[in-house]
Amino acid sequence: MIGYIIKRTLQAIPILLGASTIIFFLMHAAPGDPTSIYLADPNIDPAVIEQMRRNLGLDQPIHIQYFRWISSFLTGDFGYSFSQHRPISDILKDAIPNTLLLSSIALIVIFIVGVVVGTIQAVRQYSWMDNTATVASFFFYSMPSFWFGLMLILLFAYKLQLLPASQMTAVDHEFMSGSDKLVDRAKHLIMPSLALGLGGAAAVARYMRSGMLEQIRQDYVRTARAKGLDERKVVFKHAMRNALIPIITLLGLYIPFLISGAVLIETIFAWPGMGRTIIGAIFQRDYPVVLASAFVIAILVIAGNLVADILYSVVDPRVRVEEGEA
Amino acid sequence: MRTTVWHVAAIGAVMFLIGCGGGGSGDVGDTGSPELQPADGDMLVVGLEVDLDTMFPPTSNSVSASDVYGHIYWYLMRSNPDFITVRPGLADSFRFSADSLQIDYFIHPGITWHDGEPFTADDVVFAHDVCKAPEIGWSAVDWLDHITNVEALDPLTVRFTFDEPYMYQVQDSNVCYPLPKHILGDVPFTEMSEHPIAREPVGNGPFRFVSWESGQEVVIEANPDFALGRPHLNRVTFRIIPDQTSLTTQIQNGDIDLWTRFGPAFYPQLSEAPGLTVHSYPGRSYTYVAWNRLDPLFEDKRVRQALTMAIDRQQIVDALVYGQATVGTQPLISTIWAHDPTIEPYPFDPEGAKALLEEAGWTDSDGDGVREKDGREFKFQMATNGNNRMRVDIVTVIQQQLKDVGAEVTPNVLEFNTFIDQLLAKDYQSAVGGWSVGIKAALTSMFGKDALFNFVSADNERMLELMAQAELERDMDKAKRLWSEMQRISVDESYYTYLFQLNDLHAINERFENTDMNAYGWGFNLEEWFVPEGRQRYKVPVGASPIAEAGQGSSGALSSTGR
Repeated sequence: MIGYIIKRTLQAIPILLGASTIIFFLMHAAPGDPTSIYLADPNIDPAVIEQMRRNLGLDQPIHIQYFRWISSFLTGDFGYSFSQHRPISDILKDAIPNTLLLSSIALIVIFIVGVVVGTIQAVRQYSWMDNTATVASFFFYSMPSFWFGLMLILLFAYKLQLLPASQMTAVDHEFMSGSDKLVDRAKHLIMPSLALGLGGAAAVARYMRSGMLEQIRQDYVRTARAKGLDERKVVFKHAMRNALIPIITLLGLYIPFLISGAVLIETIFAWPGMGRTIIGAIFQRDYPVVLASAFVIAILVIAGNLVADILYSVVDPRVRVEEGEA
Repeated sequence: MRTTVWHVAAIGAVMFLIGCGGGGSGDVGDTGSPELQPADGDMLVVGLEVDLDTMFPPTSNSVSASDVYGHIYWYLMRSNPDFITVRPGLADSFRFSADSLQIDYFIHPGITWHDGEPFTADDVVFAHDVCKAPEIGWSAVDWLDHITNVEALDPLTVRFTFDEPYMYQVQDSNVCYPLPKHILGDVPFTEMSEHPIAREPVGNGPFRFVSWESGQEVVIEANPDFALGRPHLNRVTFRIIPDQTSLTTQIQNGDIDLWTRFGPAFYPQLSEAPGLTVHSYPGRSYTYVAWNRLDPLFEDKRVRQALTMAIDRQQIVDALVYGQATVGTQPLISTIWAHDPTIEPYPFDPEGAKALLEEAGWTDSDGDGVREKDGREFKFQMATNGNNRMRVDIVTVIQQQLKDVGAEVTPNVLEFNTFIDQLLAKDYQSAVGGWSVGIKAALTSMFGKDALFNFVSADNERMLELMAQAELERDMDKAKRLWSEMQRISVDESYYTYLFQLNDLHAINERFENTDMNAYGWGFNLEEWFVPEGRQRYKVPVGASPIAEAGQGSSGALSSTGR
């Protein structure tokens, strides 16, 4: 198992380097550069812009810029942000935990809601609950998350005024007591994590429903019932365990989806995470930040898939990763 | 309040005017009633769409940032909304030398940096060196070109020396914020923008820094030791909220108190919203249509005039900007002193436009609704940047309006940087763009021969002559006449169709009093805003605030100094 993890990690290195290199050249090929924002005022002195480009090293030929960047990158120095005027490592230190917090809560929403709803649907197949949940899951699945987020804001923050519209904490957060602070944080997490997670939960519910239905029709379930086990045990102990196996695969698939979906959700809910960082950096042509955040997101995605693969073999005894197997 | 106003129009013979009750214009109402008495306390919560870049003024380029550090750092003299006269800042007054080559500024006694160190003339001299250093790369460094020397005569007197007398001597000596020499004095220029002070500023103004959590919020609070008197508000919190739907929601449900520079699309909703006051005044940006003269289509002046007359600019203002703009007439907009209000906008006159086009040889001989001349059809592209929804709508409206006079416009919506690149390369036919302009009358960069921003390839000799004269003219009235004549030619040439000058729009919660917002900015007199005792909403102390949670960024060390 350890050999397998090492092998997968080593395989990730060329992927990460290749992706970063492609992004580097794509970003520089795009029109404009970090000094373009100064072109809003006709009286800016062109000599000043030239000086800024020199200070940022943008007057160098592209291959020199590339080797400068890659050599400092490989030594662990992500560089300095043009637009935020601070080391990129500081930017990432601020943003990564925020994105991980939101994505992991959303992931929990996806799996808990998805598994519970899907199971109920399978057990009560063709009941009104099943039908309602089917309609609801198609609704949530086909809905863009940003639109859903806006609707949540309009309903819960504007009309009902039950939940805060955006951000991670209230404006008077620092004056709250310890327990109020926790409640405040939780309140701010509800809408963004629902907006981010419910679409995925709907999909998981569909998988879970069909998985459960398939299991319930299996011989071993009939045997369990025949020997007089009560229904709850049959469903939860026997059928559900097997139905969960394919859901684990979905876990790996959802991590990149969560992080890309977070780009819009983070903007709508003013959540200071990786998604907003990278979008802002792209528009301002802040090359080093785009490269570093793309790199981090690529790592998160690869790590997510690795975790899913490992979990898969842990949950399903039939799938065991052989030492040295790719 | 006593406002000292300096007039720099007549160089050498400076007039000293004293006006009374300047500060708040109108909002104070009946100050006699007790519930409107100024009171200290409460907090203002501002919604900002973008995070600050840095709070080190010389390297900052974001409006959000100057909205914040402009209250932490102050200038010696501060500008009035006309951008010609000034009011006292850290200096009480100033004096020109007899030959007008020197200005002495007299600093108010007792001003300290927020860490307790005294603010002196040395800090002004030091800041000038920083602003001028090429390693810093300050975007307004050319404003310092005429300043030959800055020296401290004594701790409270600083002298600026110029190479010649000219119109903007006071402005140019008040564009670089004084910086704390005792903190930055030994820091090399190349490392200055990375110094902790860029994220935790130590200023000298009425508000001092408390905390900055990236992408979340920036907090400043009243500086109780400010020698010119503490501001009334205890705290100002700037919350970073990038989504406009969230901002609209939060300004209406009271989560934020102020939304600055909101888009005109929100005007109908916010101006009706209960509990909110909307401030609207002509801002410092305008929108134009550029006709590229390198394209033979727009070579003829009559064609450009006809196109201007065919565009119903008032309709665009009414329909797309909800009336929150003024129809454009000239390149020097109303916030610039050389603006000539007597220049009339081109009339909207489709019939006149048609006649002019016929005269220029463009006729619709085959009756398909599109004019032709010498085998070429009157069809062209109109480019704009897609991230600006309003401009895209403008192109659509113009497309419709020009169809009525026999021109077929194809919209060409581009990504912002691509759009700018095409304008700079003059690789376009027509374009809807805009400028945010500074405070000086300067048009060389737009109309000069081979100038970078001469997108339309203007080459009128008389205009160049007048521009050169006007920029050298020290007598303001004469300069105004020269600018006026120059602008009349530019209007007649119709290189550009000036669509409108946009209003700045700010929505603020009604509990705040004495909020004077004008072309200088929404925070023109932030230190004088107050909330009457009975209306105060937040109980936030000054100076006693606990340090925010560990791990939540920079609400740290420097903010607790000097208390």
